[in-house]
Amino acid sequence: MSALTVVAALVATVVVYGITPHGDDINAPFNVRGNIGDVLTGRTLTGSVTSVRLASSIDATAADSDWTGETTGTWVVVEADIAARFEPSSLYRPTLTIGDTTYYATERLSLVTLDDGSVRPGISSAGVILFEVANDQLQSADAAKAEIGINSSFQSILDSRLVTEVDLTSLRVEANLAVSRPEERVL
Amino acid sequence: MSTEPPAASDPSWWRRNRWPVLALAVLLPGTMILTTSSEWFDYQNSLYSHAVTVPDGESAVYGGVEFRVDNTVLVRGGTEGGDELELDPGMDLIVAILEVTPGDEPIDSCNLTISATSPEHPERRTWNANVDLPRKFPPTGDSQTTCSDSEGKPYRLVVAATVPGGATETASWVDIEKLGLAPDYLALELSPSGISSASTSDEMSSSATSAARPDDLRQKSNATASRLMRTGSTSRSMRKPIG
Repeated sequence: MSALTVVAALVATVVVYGITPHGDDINAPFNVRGNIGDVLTGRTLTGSVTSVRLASSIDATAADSDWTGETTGTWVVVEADIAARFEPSSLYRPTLTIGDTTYYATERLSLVTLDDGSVRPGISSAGVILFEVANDQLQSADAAKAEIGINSSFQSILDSRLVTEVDLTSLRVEANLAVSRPEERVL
Repeated sequence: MSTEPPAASDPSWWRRNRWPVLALAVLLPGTMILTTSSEWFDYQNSLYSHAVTVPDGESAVYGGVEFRVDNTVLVRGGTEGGDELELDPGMDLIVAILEVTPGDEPIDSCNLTISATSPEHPERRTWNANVDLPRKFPPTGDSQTTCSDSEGKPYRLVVAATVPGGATETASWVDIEKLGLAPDYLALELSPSGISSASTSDEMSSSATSAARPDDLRQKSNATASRLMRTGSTSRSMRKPIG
């Protein structure tokens, strides 16, 4: 009887260890997953990634900015349409994850990208989020299963995150991509 | 030859261990509750989670300051008044004018928001006040747009927000949060009967668009505010002070 109890306890320990999070997973976000065009709804945000394009440089003159987005890598230009659900919210550091590498949205082009402002309930903001990515990452096999993460709280700790899966290997690199400021529309 | 009485059977495992097991069943959850309850209550008390709702026209003291909604204006996008303010079609502009009477410990800063419910969105939604307003929203003149110490003198506080059209159809409130007073916050009810979409918005927009000089604009804005004050509710009562 006692031997059986010990074995059962050991098995239970292994099961509990196996199904509980460890390390960074303890504070992991709750991902809401979808593909391009899917409207995803988390605790604080709702919206979709409407397109993803690659560019070697950015033209921001349409956004009243003379900034020229040159890069030694490639720009991943994410167009998204996002609204808050219940209270004003910011898009805190959107991410692009390729394999084990995570890129945060660039801060080089201020006041033009979607993550520079706040979003409001019932009012959707459509704009761009820019990632500056190394070329070898875009050519890796992992780029076919890249993930765009959009969240509203600091590093999305224990909060929902909208995750859009995208194949970056099938996209051609455009020479000079024009971007404009976010536009709002009532949902 | 003697015979021994039969040995009594051993008591079962449960019978031998029931008290320690029951003690564990009580003590383990109890320990969890005791060790985490303090942090839990501290966290809950750091959130502005308890609305102190004040009916329209009544006043309340929050942080030593008396607040009362004097009037509310709703301008609908796509109407003449909305167009004059360059309010986007599909949006509503809600403007509440508050009477604020500082007390012994005046509030010199606060967080102002407007929250509302509608049939399509029965859950409460919130918008920051006095940001993202229409481009031609008239200057507020002598009225304040945030809590001010005002050297102890009463003043008018303008609280405005652009919201999706129809967002305030069921109910709306001006919410006031003051640092150090969590979890209480003040929710001043904006009565639907105090909301209009025609003449008052015309006055408001015309005061902004017809003025030729900044001084004129300010005077007309003040005149509009005065008219709003005169047409506001006059019922008045004191509630239990908060904070």
